[in-house]
Amino acid sequence: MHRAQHTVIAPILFLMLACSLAGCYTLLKHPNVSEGPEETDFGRCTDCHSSYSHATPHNLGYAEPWWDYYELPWWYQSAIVISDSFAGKTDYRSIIEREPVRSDGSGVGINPPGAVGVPLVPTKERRAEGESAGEDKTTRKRTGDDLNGDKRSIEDRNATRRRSDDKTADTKSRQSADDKDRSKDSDETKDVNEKKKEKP
Amino acid sequence: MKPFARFIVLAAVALSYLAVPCASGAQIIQGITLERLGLLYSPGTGARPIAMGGAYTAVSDDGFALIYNPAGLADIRRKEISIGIHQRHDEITNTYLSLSSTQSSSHTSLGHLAAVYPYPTYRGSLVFAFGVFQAGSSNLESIKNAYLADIPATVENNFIQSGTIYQYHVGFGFDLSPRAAVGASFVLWDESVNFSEEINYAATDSSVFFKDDVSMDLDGVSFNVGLLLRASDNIRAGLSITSPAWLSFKGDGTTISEYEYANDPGVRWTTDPAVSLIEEDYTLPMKFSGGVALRLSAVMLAADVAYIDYSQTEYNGIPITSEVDPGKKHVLKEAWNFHAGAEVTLPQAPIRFRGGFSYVPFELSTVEEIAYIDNGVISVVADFEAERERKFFTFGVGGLIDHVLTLDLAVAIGGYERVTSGAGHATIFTEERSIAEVVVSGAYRF
Repeated sequence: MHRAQHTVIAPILFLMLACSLAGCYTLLKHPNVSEGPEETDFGRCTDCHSSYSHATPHNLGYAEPWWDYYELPWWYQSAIVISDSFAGKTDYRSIIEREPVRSDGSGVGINPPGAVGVPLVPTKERRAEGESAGEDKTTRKRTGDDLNGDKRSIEDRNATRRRSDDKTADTKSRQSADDKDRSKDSDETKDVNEKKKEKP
Repeated sequence: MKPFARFIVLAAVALSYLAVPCASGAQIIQGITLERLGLLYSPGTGARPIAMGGAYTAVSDDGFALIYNPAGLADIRRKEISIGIHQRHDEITNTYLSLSSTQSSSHTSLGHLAAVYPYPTYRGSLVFAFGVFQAGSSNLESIKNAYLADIPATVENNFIQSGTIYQYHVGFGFDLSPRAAVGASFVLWDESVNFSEEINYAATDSSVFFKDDVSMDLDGVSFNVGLLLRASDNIRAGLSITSPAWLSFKGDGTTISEYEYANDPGVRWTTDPAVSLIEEDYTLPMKFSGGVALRLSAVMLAADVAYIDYSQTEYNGIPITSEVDPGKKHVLKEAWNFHAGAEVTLPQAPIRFRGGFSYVPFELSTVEEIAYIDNGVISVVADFEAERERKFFTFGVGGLIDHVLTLDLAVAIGGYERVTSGAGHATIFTEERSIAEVVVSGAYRF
């Protein structure tokens, strides 16, 4: 078995070579960024990025219902905003499949083949928009009307996305503006109600 | 069918003839022994790979990547635990000078047990995996009957061998670029082999019963490296290289003989058990496998070709060459194996159907026709012609349950037939083997 030493040396050399090459493409740590949050984790991708496409692996070509078995990285669960409204849902994998990983419709990124591309906006924005529209946070199946609505709003949201790509600060400031708008709307509603009360 | 030169080899030591032949000249028997032990033919494991005819070098995207192409590990994105079971049925029919015997046997064994862990990445992929895989089978049950008219005598050879070759793999794969991935695995070989051979020989003036019981342990090391190229979303190509396998057999064997002479009826003479130690090294040559996979909507087509030059096989550091035919340098020869398979996924349904074909020609050109007793064990060997090369047709089905659990079933049916001829093209010996294998695998991803 004196030749067995070759089998020990060769894998070690290969491992060293592999480690030296791994950083060329595969990234285990997030690159340092001059702006944005200090801590970067998989759960906060959309704080800075408009889509997951920069980090998503290539498409293996599996269609539904095999898609998430083969294509969706397990650590993307932490990237998924499983809000309180999802808690207690037993069908959490369908939430993983439909809710978090969406592209902007350009085909970039990982998407279940056949799934409708829905514009992705930063999580905070999406929450804010949902709240401003008075939408229930609970997950519901998308209807044809919903999809039409999405199509209509694609251009608007793309504009939003471009802004959010530039700087996180823009997003934050826009959120502040949204908050102000919402508070303004709320004030206006309050005024109307008060006027209604005055009428009788 | 062209005539083949027939010759006789006398193995002076019965144990060495049966187990691991000594270096005194039984080179041909060494090649036959390697084939009997199943070391020259590694069909692999896994219900999905086997159902696709073994064409998995470019497909590898699960735990089986460890044995087919470690680079395929880079395409695994969820943690995976998988297990598989093999059920194999063999039927061997030997015909020597018109006397035919058929022996059936079946064996159930662990196919594989593996775990895969993809390390979280921001870009690319880095995946580690560990598993034990069935690399081959030494299970063999065979009976040969013959009437040796020139002596004259009758002889019966019973051969029963059990053992499953397992490989322990630990490996990794990672993306070099969006279109290229590499991987490697380190392999430890392990097997416990037990076999028993009986020769019942009866001439006109005497009869002999010979029995050899052998127990051996196989240990060995090798490693695999692989490359996976994603030419496009629909086309993948894979290359896998297996290093030489450095194998070591250690064990012992016991032989006994019982004699009875016609002129002294009722008196049997039994030899004391002869115990021998076995400590031999073999080196199997490198193996190169290449494959492509094409995905067309719901259909995936895959094809593999593998090359192994078995003439480089070494016994204690020396190539195995023929001792009776100086013109025939090597007992073993190079081999090209071909595999092809397809997988059809039903649209929007968690069901897949598979089919495949594999062509694995013989690595050995010589076969043992019969063994009998004459002041020791005499083995009659001759070159054979493949009447039907080793081929398998495979089928399978797989399903996905709740997006996390896959269950796969594969059936492989095939076999071979080889013939030796004497003067005037007369058939001397025919060996026909039918193999039916059922493989069940399950994998859980989370």
